[in-house]
Amino acid sequence: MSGYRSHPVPGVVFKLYQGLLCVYPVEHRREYGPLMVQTFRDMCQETYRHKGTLGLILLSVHVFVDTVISSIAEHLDRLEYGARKMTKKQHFVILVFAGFPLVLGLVLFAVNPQYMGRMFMPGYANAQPLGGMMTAAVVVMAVVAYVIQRWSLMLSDRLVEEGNRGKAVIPRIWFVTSFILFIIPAMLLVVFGPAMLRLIEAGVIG
Amino acid sequence: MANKRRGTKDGQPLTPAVLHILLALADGSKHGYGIMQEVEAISDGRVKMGPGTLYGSIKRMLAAGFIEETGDRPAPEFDDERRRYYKLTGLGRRVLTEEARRLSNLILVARRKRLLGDVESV
Repeated sequence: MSGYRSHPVPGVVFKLYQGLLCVYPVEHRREYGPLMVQTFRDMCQETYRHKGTLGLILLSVHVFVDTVISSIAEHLDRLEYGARKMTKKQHFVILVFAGFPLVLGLVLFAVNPQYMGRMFMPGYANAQPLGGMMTAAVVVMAVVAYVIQRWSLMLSDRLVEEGNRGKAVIPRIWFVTSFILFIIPAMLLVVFGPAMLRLIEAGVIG
Repeated sequence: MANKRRGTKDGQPLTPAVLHILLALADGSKHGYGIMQEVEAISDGRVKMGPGTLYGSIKRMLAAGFIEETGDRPAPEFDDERRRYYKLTGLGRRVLTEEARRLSNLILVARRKRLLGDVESV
């Protein structure tokens, strides 16, 4: 065994690993963080003793990759847990929110088929692709809003459950932001889209 | 919390990490690093778990009731009180036995299909 291998592993290695653990969800870190650090310490000492500095570097890379992958798994588990805990009422509320622009389009179509029909009516060479694009944009915005709202609701419930009421404000802000960024513009597109098409055809716009 | 995605639900095939941890604990309780060393030994060094995978799997296996923490510890002079020791539960042993039978049946099929000719002749 060469001389340098009898020296202890530099403490900075453990400090770095300890810092890296911040990528895990709080409760997992609280429960298993000290055990993970201790296991890492055992691994390092054993590797350093037998394989020296190069072995330690390779081990650090392996553990870094393992930490990143397993932290993603823990976050996904957390979200799955949130999804299981989500009530039917919460599901219904976000579906109504996200689906509102589409429902609005259908109502407008029922009230005034000619107005909404312009989006899809054949014969408007310029309007047809634009109408399709507008409809696709509304559907995409509704889906994005649904995903964000579902995620933020689950995360906020989970944080409250963990006693982090202060932090739970952040996902609630996302919830409101998704409404402002996606649902309201989608509604405006549904309501004013056909009128915009008419203006484009008339040459007033574009 | 049984976990369908990572194969810790009854009747689902076990993930390699869960199977190796159960196998490592089959002959007695061990702490985290002890499990890791045993897994590396029984897999001829092919399965190398990091602390993240190890404790993530342990968490799910505790929740699924496959393993439990145990107070049976070595003598104080050989022990570190910060360590936690884990052992198989009755359910964990049954699940491990079922999985071993399932794998053994697969081996039989592979033999019948002459897929293991090279291995057998070694």
